[in-house]
Amino acid sequence: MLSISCLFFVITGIQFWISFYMQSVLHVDEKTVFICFSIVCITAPTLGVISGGYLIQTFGGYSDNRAIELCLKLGYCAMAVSIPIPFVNNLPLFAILIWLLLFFGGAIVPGLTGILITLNLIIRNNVKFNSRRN
Amino acid sequence: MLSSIPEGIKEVAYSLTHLCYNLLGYLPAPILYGLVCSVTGGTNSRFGLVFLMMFSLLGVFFLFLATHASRLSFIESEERQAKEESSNNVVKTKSFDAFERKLSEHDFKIVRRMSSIETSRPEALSLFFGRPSFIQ
Repeated sequence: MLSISCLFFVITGIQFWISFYMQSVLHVDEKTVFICFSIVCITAPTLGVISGGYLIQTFGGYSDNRAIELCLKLGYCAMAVSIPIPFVNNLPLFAILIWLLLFFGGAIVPGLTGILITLNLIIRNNVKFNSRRN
Repeated sequence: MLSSIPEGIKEVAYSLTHLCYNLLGYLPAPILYGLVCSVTGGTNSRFGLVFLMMFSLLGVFFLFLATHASRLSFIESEERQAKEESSNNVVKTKSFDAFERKLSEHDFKIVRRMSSIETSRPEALSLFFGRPSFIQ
């Protein structure tokens, strides 16, 4: 839950402030910011959520132990992309990095939400063990 | 995890989860970004974005902890199952040994009874097993 909250924190902050940041720090004109922001914010999370759900399904679903490891790998990708973002001055590179960050963030969401709301392997194993004991 | 919560408090758990998402995720991000920017130099400051990106590292750290905990509990449950299976096998072998011992005692009794019958009245057995070789 804390991981998802951090993810929402980053995504909300980006979506709220990124247009202002592009105008004031990167000195890009308003029209370009509007087009760039629209394309990035519409396509990246949508494609990320779809491909994240497909990947989780391919790896065996939420109850599989590999699901959380896949989420961790996607999180590593998002982290690797997010580190250089504040230090970039080039608009296309900045837009690509933001796109990738939103994509990987969106890809983590279905996996983590599914793990949170379904019975995962740990609990199932413990329940099995306890039922056998009793 | 949420589906393992008992039926009576499941609704409260779902609402609390969403409350936490909103309180920890959606609500503070714009406020804290603006606060950091205003503290570190106004509208041209990059530290707001640095502050946001630090939270992605924090999220990955929490995810790493969750994965590590998942691995540990998986290994523990496997060890428990292995122990349980090995103890079941010990019980099975013990019970099988006892059964074998009983069976052998029972067989021995039958053989002894048959041999006593055979020595006393050998012709009686010849009806079932044919004529014994030592009866002329």
